[in-house]
Amino acid sequence: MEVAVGKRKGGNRIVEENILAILDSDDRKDTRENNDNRSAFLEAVRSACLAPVNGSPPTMKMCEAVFKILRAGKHLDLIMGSFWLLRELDKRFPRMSVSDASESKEPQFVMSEEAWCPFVLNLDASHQSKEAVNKSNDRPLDSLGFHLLIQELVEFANKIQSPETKSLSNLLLFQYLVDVLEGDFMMRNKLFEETLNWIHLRESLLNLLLNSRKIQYKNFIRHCLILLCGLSHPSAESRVDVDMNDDVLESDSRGAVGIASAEVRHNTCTALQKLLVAIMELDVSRKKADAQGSTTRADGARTPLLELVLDEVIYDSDMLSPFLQGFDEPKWKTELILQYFMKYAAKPTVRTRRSNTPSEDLTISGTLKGFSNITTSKSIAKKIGSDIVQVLIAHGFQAHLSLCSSKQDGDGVASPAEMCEDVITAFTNLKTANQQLEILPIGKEALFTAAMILSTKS
Amino acid sequence: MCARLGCIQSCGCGLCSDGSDVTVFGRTKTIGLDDLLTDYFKEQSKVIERQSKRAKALKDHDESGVRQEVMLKSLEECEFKINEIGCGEEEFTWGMQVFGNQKPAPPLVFPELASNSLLQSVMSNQVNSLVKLTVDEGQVFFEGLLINGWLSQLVGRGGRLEKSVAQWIYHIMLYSQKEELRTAACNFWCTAVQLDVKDNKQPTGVEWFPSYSDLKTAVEIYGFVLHVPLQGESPSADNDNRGPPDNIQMWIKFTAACCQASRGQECMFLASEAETLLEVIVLLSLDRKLEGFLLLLHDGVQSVINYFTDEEWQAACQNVARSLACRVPKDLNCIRALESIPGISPRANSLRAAVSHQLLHNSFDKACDEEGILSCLIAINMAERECDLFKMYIYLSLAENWLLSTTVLEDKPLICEMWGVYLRHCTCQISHGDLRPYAAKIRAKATYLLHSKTKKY
Repeated sequence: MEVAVGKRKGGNRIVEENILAILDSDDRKDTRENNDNRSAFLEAVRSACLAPVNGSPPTMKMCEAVFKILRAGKHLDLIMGSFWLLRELDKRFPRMSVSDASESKEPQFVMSEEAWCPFVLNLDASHQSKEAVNKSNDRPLDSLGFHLLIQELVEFANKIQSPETKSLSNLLLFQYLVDVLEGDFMMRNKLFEETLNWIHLRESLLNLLLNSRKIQYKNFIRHCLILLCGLSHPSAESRVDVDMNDDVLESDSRGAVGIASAEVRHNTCTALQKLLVAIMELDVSRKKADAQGSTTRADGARTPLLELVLDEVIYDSDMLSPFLQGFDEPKWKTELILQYFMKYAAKPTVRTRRSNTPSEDLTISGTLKGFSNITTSKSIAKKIGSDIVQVLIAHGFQAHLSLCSSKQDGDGVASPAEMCEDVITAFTNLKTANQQLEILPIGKEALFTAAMILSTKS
Repeated sequence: MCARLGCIQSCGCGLCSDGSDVTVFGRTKTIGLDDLLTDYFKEQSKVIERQSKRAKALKDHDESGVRQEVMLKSLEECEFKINEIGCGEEEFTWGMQVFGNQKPAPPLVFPELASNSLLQSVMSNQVNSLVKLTVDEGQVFFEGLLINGWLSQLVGRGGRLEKSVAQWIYHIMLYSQKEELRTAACNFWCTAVQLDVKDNKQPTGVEWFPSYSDLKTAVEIYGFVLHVPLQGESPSADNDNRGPPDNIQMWIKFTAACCQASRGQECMFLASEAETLLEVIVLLSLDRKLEGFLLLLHDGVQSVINYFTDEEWQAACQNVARSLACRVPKDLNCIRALESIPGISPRANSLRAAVSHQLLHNSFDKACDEEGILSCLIAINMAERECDLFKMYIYLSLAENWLLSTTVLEDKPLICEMWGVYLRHCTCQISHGDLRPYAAKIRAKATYLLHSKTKKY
């Protein structure tokens, strides 16, 4: 791996010193003075790094200080400002870039030397005590710290209390961390797909995180799923009770936390989904690497995420509906629903989960063919449960529609019109098989949409 | 002392009360009566010593207490004096009541919803044997369709969406109190306007699109007053009814989405309308209630800025700057307004520079060009006691935003020189121990700017 040498290194140091001098040395105190300094500091970093077209990249100490302000989580404007700044800095100065393939045999990563990362996941960092890494605000997090953060968020998502500034800061911190993980993974995964060199992915932050011995992978995923379900419900009461005796500005500030929390929750849910998708993509690449024998025992064995999710929603059927509502990435949603049906509906001989290549004929429309006559519909509904079948069909239909609109037509995917007819047939057969069947609201909505799409086509 | 004696008695000694016991004691143990006596007197003397010590300490304490009081008093006096000198520093903070009283929102119940052809066609469709929809449930059913994203799918597939339904969703987005509904409605509209761009070959099935006047009406209903200078506090507004409602975030999001989407084909807004929208979004950032929407607001400002064509931008930038400079009070609020323009793109930077230039220009009537303004700034003597340092701090921040957001310092050596002189004035005329409010802040800022200036040029 190459390391790019900072061109304006000397200049950077002076800028760094000058900018860091804005923050008082004793900045732990939460005084008005210190907070003013903090916001002046954020503004100075922006002005030095982002305002000029060819601004100099931030130094590690600068990033660390911004990160610390975000984690301290004391004041809404500081939290928002530091979060925005961190994201913009990452956009402008990516941690790594891919060098030109023509120069060397294989494209290589170029890590920028000064790049700061909010994670320490390397083994050599393990000698630091757990507490020291995760408790102090300016240090990067390790895998355990990330897991603890998710646990804190689960607690937040499930309680009905009014949100606090600290929880907002945690939600944003999580979003930022996922951004970093995902950005790193996407770039490496692209390179892996081109070169099929597993080493690129082995060193990805995401892989290091998941393989870390400090966390228990299954527990980690379980918490992620609980969090997703918790966040996909709208917050019960986001309004903060404002004390009438408060000074207007102060009560406005506290009201601001409440007003902002819905948006932040929503974005966190999206971030979590990105994290899950990235893990699933990593599983796919891992499978490829396994197949060509480039993984070693050191890589460890990890159950693919999709299987874990499947087990989880089958075991706890109350989780299915909120999960499908929160998770709307169409490709993997379809995959999950297909696997669900397979587990119950497929004949044992065509079990394809063991084989490495996903079977081509496995599509939602293929699965819906299973409902094309009353007897099979009845048996599937009996095995899976009539409510769950409806939820699965409706969400599968929706995911399929999203996939269709993002893909070009005639991509081997069943046309929406066919699909609509299949959905209507499926529901009709389910109803005929069991006259007592109550069609769930989501089923009705799916039927309505199918009928409407058919009517526009004709 | 009594406790001590009690201890001795309980040892079985019984020294003072009964002599006979002593002999028994003496027989069993080798400790003689003399030893016990010396022990006893030792204890006694210790107790007396301790008592005298305590009395002395008490006396000392009284004396130090008096001293302490004197100290405290003088400290209080000092504090009072410092406060007197530095009075008012705590009062300054940004934050304005951008919104006044809300107006009644339009009703969200749409009787036409039941009669729309979409619903009618389903009810006549064979599917209705399964759906079993009745006219009464129309609205609830449509809410479900909206929340679960079916309507977006339908529109995405070229489905027809009647005016009444489109308007109903629009109203939900901007006026519904239910978070789930308004979020879904906002998602729907953001996809719908962007769809319009993607397949411009075929017209979308959406039969009604909100226009600028709809957006304008919405902020006015929220209590925003267009084209009037902001006041610090509007006593007329009562706290319960003061805007904005939570829907304001949908408004910002949707405005941004419109601006991002409708470039390249027929425009949604005229340039002058986009100018007003830009101004509104910048002013929104002055409301403390919206502090948490920094990202949305930044995104909004950025989207509207990018909406203009290159030809329009020059004029638009000046217009917005002029208008904002008249509406924003010249205190920390104007700095906040500047910071709400995300200075990360050339256009945003030029807007920042224009607004701060305009604000400075309004402060010094005679001067309008760079030289004029800078010489006015240099002419101020900050060492004088009467000099309003808070004002000076604002000037310095404005000048910073104005000069550093553009390349003027690199292009014009004279201006660069004058800027240096001004900054040195700030550091020299204000001594290190100056206790006036904002003195330290000006010094720190000027020192910082001076350092970064010498590094660069």
